[in-house]
Order: sequence, then structure tokens, then C-alpha cells
Amino acid sequence: MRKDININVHHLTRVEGHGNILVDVKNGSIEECTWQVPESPRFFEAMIRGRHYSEVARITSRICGICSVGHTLASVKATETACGITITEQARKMRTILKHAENFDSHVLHVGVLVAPDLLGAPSVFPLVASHGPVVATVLRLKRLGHEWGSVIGGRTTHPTTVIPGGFSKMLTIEELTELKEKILASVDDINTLVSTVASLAPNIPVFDRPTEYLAVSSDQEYGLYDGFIQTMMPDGSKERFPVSDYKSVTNEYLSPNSTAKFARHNLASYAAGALSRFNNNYEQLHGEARKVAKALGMESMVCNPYMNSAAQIIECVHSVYESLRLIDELIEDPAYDANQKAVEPLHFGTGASAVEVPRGILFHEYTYDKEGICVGGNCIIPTNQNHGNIQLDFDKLVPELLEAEKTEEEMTLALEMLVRSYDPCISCSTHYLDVRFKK
Amino acid sequence: MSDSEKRYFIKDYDFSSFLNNLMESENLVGPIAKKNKFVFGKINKTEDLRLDYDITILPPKKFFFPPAQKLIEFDGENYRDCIDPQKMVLFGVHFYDIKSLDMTDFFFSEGQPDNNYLANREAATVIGSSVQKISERAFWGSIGRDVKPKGHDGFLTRLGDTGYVYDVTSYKGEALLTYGNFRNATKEEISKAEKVNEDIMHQCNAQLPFPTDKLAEKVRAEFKNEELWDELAEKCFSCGTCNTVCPTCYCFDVHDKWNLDQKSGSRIRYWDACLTSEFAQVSLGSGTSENFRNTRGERFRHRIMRKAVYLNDKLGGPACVGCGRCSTSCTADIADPVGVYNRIMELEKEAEIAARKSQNIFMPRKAMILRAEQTTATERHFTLKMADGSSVHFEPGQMLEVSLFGYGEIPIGYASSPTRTRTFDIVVRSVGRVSKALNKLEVGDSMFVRGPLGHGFPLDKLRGQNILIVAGGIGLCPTRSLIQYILDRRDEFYNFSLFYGTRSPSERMFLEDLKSWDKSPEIDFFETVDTAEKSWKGNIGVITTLFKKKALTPDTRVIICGPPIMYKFVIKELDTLDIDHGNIYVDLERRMKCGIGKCGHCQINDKYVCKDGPVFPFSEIEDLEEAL
Amino acid sequence: MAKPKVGFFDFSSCEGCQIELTNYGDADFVELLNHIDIVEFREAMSEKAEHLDIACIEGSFTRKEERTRLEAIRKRSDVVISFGACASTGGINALKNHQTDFQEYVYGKDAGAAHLQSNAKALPIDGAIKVDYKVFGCPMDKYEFLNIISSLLHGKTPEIPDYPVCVECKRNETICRFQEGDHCMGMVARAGCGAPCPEAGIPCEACRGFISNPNEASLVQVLIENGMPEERARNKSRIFTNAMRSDA
Repeated sequence: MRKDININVHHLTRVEGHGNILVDVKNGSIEECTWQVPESPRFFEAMIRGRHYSEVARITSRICGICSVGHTLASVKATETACGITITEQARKMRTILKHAENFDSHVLHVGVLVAPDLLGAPSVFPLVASHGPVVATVLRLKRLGHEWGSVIGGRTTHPTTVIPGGFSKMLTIEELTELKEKILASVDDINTLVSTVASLAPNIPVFDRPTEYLAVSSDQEYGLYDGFIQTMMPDGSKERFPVSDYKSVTNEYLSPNSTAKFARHNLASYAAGALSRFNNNYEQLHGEARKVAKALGMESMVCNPYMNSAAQIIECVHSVYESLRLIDELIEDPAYDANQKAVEPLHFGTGASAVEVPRGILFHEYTYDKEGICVGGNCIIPTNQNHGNIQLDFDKLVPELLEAEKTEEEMTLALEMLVRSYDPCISCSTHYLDVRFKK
Repeated sequence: MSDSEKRYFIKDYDFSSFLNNLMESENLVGPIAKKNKFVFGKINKTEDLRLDYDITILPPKKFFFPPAQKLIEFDGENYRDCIDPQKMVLFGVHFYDIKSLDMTDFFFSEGQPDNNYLANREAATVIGSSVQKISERAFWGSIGRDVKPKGHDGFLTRLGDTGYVYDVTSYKGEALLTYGNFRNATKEEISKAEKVNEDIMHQCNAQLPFPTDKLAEKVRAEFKNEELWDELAEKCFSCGTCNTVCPTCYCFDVHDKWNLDQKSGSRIRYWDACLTSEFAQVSLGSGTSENFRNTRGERFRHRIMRKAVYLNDKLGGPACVGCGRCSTSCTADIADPVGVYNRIMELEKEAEIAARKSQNIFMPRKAMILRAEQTTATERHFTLKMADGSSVHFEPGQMLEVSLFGYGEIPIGYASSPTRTRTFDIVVRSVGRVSKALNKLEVGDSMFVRGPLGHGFPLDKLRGQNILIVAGGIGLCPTRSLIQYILDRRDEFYNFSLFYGTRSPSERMFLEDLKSWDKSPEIDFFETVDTAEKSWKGNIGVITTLFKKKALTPDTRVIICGPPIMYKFVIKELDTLDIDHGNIYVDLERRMKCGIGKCGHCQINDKYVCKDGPVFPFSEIEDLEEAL
Repeated sequence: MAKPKVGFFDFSSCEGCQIELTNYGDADFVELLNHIDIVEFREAMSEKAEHLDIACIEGSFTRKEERTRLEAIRKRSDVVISFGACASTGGINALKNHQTDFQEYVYGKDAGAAHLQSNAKALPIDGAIKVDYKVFGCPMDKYEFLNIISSLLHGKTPEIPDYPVCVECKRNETICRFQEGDHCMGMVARAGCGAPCPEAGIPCEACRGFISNPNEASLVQVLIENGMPEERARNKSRIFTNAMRSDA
């Protein structure tokens, strides 16, 4: 049956920022199938010019409310590289725990509040308060845990205060570390509940495979999040590493031949970033408890279904809980632990880049400072923008498959919305623009 | 309660077990460190307590009148009060903060007693402690010193490393005795403790250079001087910091808040600050408002008026304990009352200068001779009063030009203290045409004077310090002004010594003074003459020999006045004592004509002795080739 | 009392203020839902409403076409609340307002493209429509927001402080940044946040905007007196208050 389908999702809901889905099928042939981002440009790279190095992270944190911890960490790391600063091991561990807090916090929100309604057939989380009260309460408690866990270290989770170039403006006391540990331990039951709920809903996750290139931070020491190299993994499982300073040659921002948008690509026409990329790249380094959950979900590297990104996020939640508990113990048991530790001062000023894994994938920041420590330029490449190309290629493969399966317009719309949502896009991050074409 | 049986002693060795016992049985609160500052907070282990603190960020009123205090809780139509005093022992409160509690006790008790404050106050045992370290901006040594604090239950005075004298002032203070190994204090310990608390009063860096009894009147008089208040408040941020940290500020605002159930809630009072712009603002509806203190100057003035005038009328003294918290905390550094009050005092001087501007600067005024006495063969001592009956104002060390028409003018230092304002003394040595003519005058005659001129001894740098005056020969005349001043205000200064040397007994001046100083316990007076007949019973030798007679500390402030040759030898002696050259003041003599920095006679390098001196810190002139 | 219908909207912003709504935890959030009906919230749900009792708008007004969207929200809402710094004061988005080359700098040769055009200045939303109440802060304080909602539920004008952050630092006994050799904008910044930044050891950047009558001249002077180079001192207050400066 040849049919007409016209999908025009203006400002997709349950994602951060604004995106549009446009599909136009005339007489069974695809005329248009586009993922668009009409987010207002915000000009952060222009704003940081003329600002003192101590202010830059406070500004670029405001790129995104949900990954502001990650932006702050990427920003201070780039500034530290530019200023010849090596932070202390204690500060590095503390930042890693903070990074875990953000990923946990964001993943819980994404899976529990934004994705769960899709899997439970509800339009939003609000009707779930009545129909699935205990699950919603568990999610809200875990969201609160992620918030408190991040806040005790970062001062806040939305635009953290204590993270400054050189370390922290305020370190936790041993008592605070112990309290944090107990708070996380007290939530293990809730976490198990969330894991088993997701496992029970896993059959509702659509099946769609499209092998692609996966890009993530990778390190010999740990499951790459806060620190490491850039690593790429090809569909055949081969991996290659690049130093962070080469980030531009890995991301290769380019203008698409059909649009003026900046996309990113490396070896293939597009690559993916995010929880699934990290899972595929760094599976071996997941905490044992997290691998157990992966097994229960039937997942092992590599997984090529982008809808499974949400499942990878749950696995990462478990990893973050147990890794953080381990790191907290190390800090508590460290006889040299210094709750009054001061931030390391800059040695010189120059140019520096950083890569940090934020919930949605690999994030790059780069800054140049003049000899007075005043910023003269910067660049931020956010994971959502790196994923736009991959989403488009997923669309290109998925839409014909859906047409083939004779799905209705409503079913197709939901499938496409769910696909975009599974990437957990954070469009308000977009410091670069994308092509925008409105279908009349 | 001054009876000695209420004073106890606890050894340093026993102090921590006393604290431990207190902590176990009571809710113990005291000064604890917050980074490099201090706050009053819960004492969980003995090391937390920092009795060596200088000042806390907030005063202890926060325990009785918290920054946010629930007054009433409501739930629909039901409501109840929230008075729920928690027992506590508030430990280690400095005397100035106890004074401030006396004031807030008064404010919250007058009219309708406010039990939200008073119940908390009643539940607390307040234990004072002696100041061990002085906050940089404190000026409690010179404001309301005569007011003794009384709102405490006990007071601990640290006697070096030996222990503490514990002064019990109430039954609540007495109750704490059971926690420690106290014994009755000895008389010696009691007097040592008194000395510790008395001595510290002289050691503040900041001082009000005038007594505070006239403060209210003088500040009140400037109310309408808008220019002054705008000038003082130009940098003001209206941030209310000075109010918020002040121990005697007690204004508040009240807000109602619902709980999340939207049914229950509370009525809460918050500290308010009259410096913030919305403090006196009232809404007139439809988005408009009227502010009764609209400018920074008006708000700044209100704070000063309230502290120095309005509350002064109630308290009998300024509502300020000199803690210096406002001075320390003000980012623009304009809140310091010492600066404000000095500025107001300066206005008087400025008014005088302005009045003088329209006059001929050489115009003298007539003075009558009340006393004329030949003290030595060449020196004649006059006591004068202004012919028009006006009072005289000058600083010790300042000069005046004295003249007789047809003979001329000569500069002479005041030889009496400005604390005696109706008359003043000068001593004239017969050396030239003018002085010889002057010295022929008798009681009832008049002469002409112009002054005060120049800068005298820096009283604000001398207060609270150990003082040594070294006077040689006629150098005793200008220094007599300072000596009298110090003796008139003896408690504002610490150890006070005077070395006086003359060439021979016949040159000794002010014989009656010398006799009384010799007997006085207020002054360590040493005298010597270079040469003398056998009848002379006192010391013989140059003035530097007196340094053997008196041990001097390196922080001593030294004033030197005498013949030029004396300076070099005295300063050499002072160098062996490690006395800073900035703490040595020399009174220089030069040929002068005009006395107002114009004629050029007295110029040393770029300085005019008449205008910039005659008193200089030695450090300021030691490198000037022509000075000594 | 019928539960008021509340909608949340986002313009140019990081959406962090909406994220803060998810941080109340289970008990408080569920209790909040007993008193308001969230009927529109793109970030969390798909439905749309015709009429709103309260519209909470996050983000700045930065592009011409946003005026139409804002006006449409105003039209169907009884009360409009600007939600967070971007909406209330222009916030961080205004940091480029004094620059003229920001488009070229970020987009290079593409800067002329039609869909990239921005207003020369990022403005608070009251630059486009009437705003009834403002929730300040970057991010907004989620408990202050509850108090404001609470006031509106009872028909009471919300109490929003107009005194500076210094008051809150002093109440907290936070050591002044200037006494730690740092700088701060707390003297001119609107309080209400509880002053968490200085307590965390960093300066206040005035994310809640200026108080009503900020002494800007004194701010510059005090910054210079405390060792900040003059140019930096003059530019200091741009981060969150660029649209509120006397030279804006």
C-alpha cells in the first residue's frame, strides 16, 4: 500500500532544548526525513572573551542546566591545561565522584521521568503519579539523591559553586564524606527497585540495529568519565586512541552538503556519543555490580541499538554508585586527606583543551588566555551536536523500515520521538547551530 | 558583687577537665575558629574553645535574638507561640559584648517585655572572659569606659599560663563551680586579674581622641548638615552589613510563611537593617511607594543618630560598645564610628579655619597676665587669659606667637595643659629684644598672642602606651603641657616616666611641679644636673645617665625636647633599647618669624618646623641633613 | 479553591531552572502537585493547555520571532512569572550585549544566515510582555519559588528581597571574600539565595541581579582598592547584570 505520511513534530517534548522532526512521505516515497534544531543561538564563545580565567567556568557552566557539572569540569580542566595546573590526586578523586553524581542524577531523570512514560504508554510522568505512585516516588527519591550527592561536593548541581581552576574552593570534611557514603548506601534498595523496573520494561524497547562508530573518553585506570584519552570504536570492534589536544581532528566539524549545519564525523559518515558509546568502548572497566545488571538486561559490548542507550544509562547508574562508594572509602582512609586543601595556582597562561564525559557523551572545551589570564577565545563542542548526524542517519534507516512494517503515522511519530529521546539530547547546550528548515 | 569570697581560681592544668565536665552536662557554646576568624558556636571538644579569639563575626545576641526567629506557628485557625528556650552555657564572652547584652536586655525589657528574647536570655548562663587578643579595629578602650558590664553570671580572667581567676556574679555562675577544681582566689591573684582587665583597656589600636560625654550633643548639631552625611555615605552600598554585625542593633521585620500544605505556617521575625534602602519604604498601592529615608546619606545619618543620640538619651551613653565589627566588615570602609565622630569633630576646626580665612593672618589677640613669676635668672613664667574671656584650645606641643607692638613677635610653646581651658602658661627666656621687653611685664599688663600654631604631640598615638619624656633645660616648658595633660588623664596612658636634666640646680624650672612629681605615684620622675655644689642631694651627670635608673620596654613612646646636642646622645641610648624611630618624637627649635609656613626661616629641607612641626616623629626627619 | 493550572515555558536559557523543579524529592514534589496542576511543560510532557492561571517562563527574549510566542503565552495566562535570571534580568545571555561582533565571532562567514539572527541585545522577557512577578537567580532557588507559588495560591503579593547579599553572608557568619583577598559583588547583588557562593569560597557574581539602587561607582572603586586592574573592575558587573548596568 502506497501512502502519504506527514509528520511535523514542532518542539519535541521531554527533551532538553528545542528540536523538530520532519517526515514527508508522498505516495510511499520519502520526500523529506529530517531532524532539526531551532534552538536560539547563545554565543557563549563570544561571551567569555575578556573574562578572567577564574570566571570562565562560571559562564560556560550556564551552557546547560542539566549537564552544568560536566561543563564546569570540562571548563576548569581546559583552563588548568592552559594554565599549567596539575590538580592534587585528592581533588581528582573528588571531581570523579562529582562526575558520577551528575551522570547518576541525569540518567535517573532521563530514564525515570522522560523515557518511562514511553515505556508505560503514558503522555508524561504526571499521570504516573496516580497509576505508578511507588515507582515515581522511587525515581524522585533517587533524583533527590543524585542532587544531594552532587550538591555536597559541588555546592549545587545546577551550576556548581565549589569547582574552581586548581581544585576546589571548599573540600568536604571526613564527616561529610562519611555522611555521603551512608546516604548512598541507604539508597541501594531504591536503586535495585529502579533496575528491576527497567528490566521488566526492557521488552518494550524497540528493536532497531544500526552499527556505527562510537566515541568516548577512555582511560587505563577506570571506566572513562572524568579523565582519559579520546577513543573511537568501529563497528568491527577495533579501537583507536587520540590525545585530547587532537580533538578537532577527531570531531571534524563540517558543513553538510545539503545544509549549512555543523555536523561531526570521524571515520564513518557519523559517530555516536553517550552512555551506549561509553558502554561499548569501556565495558571491561564497569564495576562488577554494573556488569551483573548488564547481563540481566542481556547486554554486552557491543550493542548497536540506539534505543538501548537508556538501558546503558541504568547500567552506568549502578556503576557510578559502586565506583563512588569505592572512591569515598579511599578518601576517608587516606591519612593525608586534607579538608582544607587549597586550589593550585596557575604557572603561566596559554591554550588548553579538555574532554569530559557528560551524561550525553563526550564534551570538549578549549580556551586561550593572554598573559594576564584574560580569555581571548574559546571553543565548546557538545555531545548532542556530535549526535545530530547519527540521529539523521538513524532516521534514514528507520523510516523505510517503519514504512516497510506498515506502521501508522502515530506509531511512526512515536518511534521517531522515542529514538531522539533515547539519545537524551540536550539541545539547549547547542552553542553551535544546526540547519533549520520549516515545512509549511 | 565584689566580695573576695566570690572570686575563685582554677589552675590552667585543671581547666580542660572543667571544660570536659561542662560539656558533658551542659549545652556549651563559645568562640570557635572558622578559618582564620571566629564565631560563637557549639563546643564539642575542649580544643574547639578558642579563648584567644580577638572578635567573633557576629555578636552573641544571635542566640537570644536569632537572625530568623519563629514568633507564632499557625494551622488554619489554631495558633501557638514558639517560645522554647534552650538551656545553654555561653562561654568566653568579652566584656564589650556583655555590655551589648546589657543594652539589648534593656531594649527588649522596656515597655512591653519581649519574652521571645528574654526567655532565651534567662535560659542562658553567660560567662565572660578576659580579652587575650585585640581586634584590629576595636576601640572599646575609649567609648563608654565608665560603664561596667553586668549582664553576665561569671567572668574568667586569664593569668598568663598559671590559670584563671573566676569572678562569680550570680547563682548561675556559682553553679558552674561544681564542674571544676576551683579554690578561693588569693588577694594577689585578684589584684593581678584586675590589672589584666584594666591594662587591656589602653591597648586598642583605634581610639576616640575625645571623651564621649559631649558626643550626643555634637552629633545632634550636625543633623541638618546634608553635605556631611552625603559625603560620609558616598561610597555606601546600603548593604546593611554594619547593622547586621552590630551587637546593639535590634530592628526586625516580620513575615508570614505557609508550609507546603498551604494550611499551616509560621510568623517569623528577621533581623532588619536601617541602611538598606527598603527599610523605611512604604507601599502606596498600585506599584508606587514612598521612602522616608531615600538617600544613602539619610540612612547613614540615621544609624549614627540612633547610636550616638537617640539611644544615648535612653542609655545615658552611646549605643556602641566599641567592638569595631562594623569597621571590620564594611567593604567600603566608611562605617567606622571612630572615623565618623572624628569627622564631626573636625568640622568645628574647619569652621574656625573658615572664619580665620577672612582675617589678616598676622592679626594677634590681646591676652591679660594673671600671674608673672621669675623662675630663674633669665626665665619668667606667665599665666595668661584671653582679654575677651574666650577659652583656649590647643594641643600640647603647639606654639603661639607672642608679641608687643614696637618690639616684635617671638614663637613660644604652650607650657600648660589644654585640659585647663580658661588660662594658659608660657615661659619667656630673656635672650633678645622681644623677650627682654616681655619679661618686664607684670600682673595686670597685657601682651598679644597669635595661635595655636603647628602640630603638637600626637596624642592618639600616645594613648594606651608606655610614655617617656626626656626634657633638657628649657625643654621642660613645652613638655610640661604634655606632662600635665597625661596626669589629668592618667588612666588613658600606661607607664609614664619623665627624665629631666639641667646644667645646674639654679636652672631648674617649675620647682613646685618638680616637688609634686617627685612624690606622685602617677609618674616615674628622675632628675639630674650636669654639675652642682655639694648642697645638691640629687643625681649629678648628663641626662643619659638616667637611663640606668629605669627599665624601659621597646614599645615605649619617647618624647625628646631640649638643646640640640642632647638629641644625638639620647637617641643613641634609645637605639640600645630597640626603640623604633617612628615611636620617638622630637620637638625642634628653629628661628621663626611668621609661624604659619610662609616666611621661610624655619625650613629644614622641604619641611617647615613651624607648620609641619615643631614635633616630628624622628623617623620622618632623621634622613634630613639639616634636621639635627 | 480549584487547583490553579500552571505551565512552564522555555526561551533562550540552559533550562536549569526547570531542572531544579525535579530536585524537591518525592514528598515535597508530590505535595506541590496537590496544590497546582501542571498542565504544560514541554520538557516533561506533551500536552498543551488553552488557558493558564500561572505561566512560568524561563529564558531570555533574544530573537524577534520570540515576541509572538511570548505574546501568545501572555494572552492565555492570568499571571506571568519570569522564571530565573535569564527571564528576569537577561542573565548570562546579556553578557554579550555590549559587543557588536558576537555573531561573526561565533559563526564566521555564516553569520549572515537568516535563522541565526538575534536581537542585538538579549533582554529579560519584560522587554516583550508584562511580567507580574520575578523569580531571580541562576539557577532560581527552588524553595523561594515554592514561597512565591504559595503566596499566589493565597492571593498575596510575594515577598522578594531588595537588600544585598551582604546581609545574608553576615547572618550566615560567612567570612567576607574581601577579607580572604578575593573580590565579590555581594554589596550590589539582590539577596534571597541565602548567599551560598561566598560560603562555598567563591565570590558572588550577582546572578540575582542588582538591588534597586546599586552603588556602581563605589563597586568599581572598591574593586580597584582591593587590587583589581581598572579595566577588569569596570567590566566586572557584566556577567549577570549587563542588561541592568547604568550604561546598558
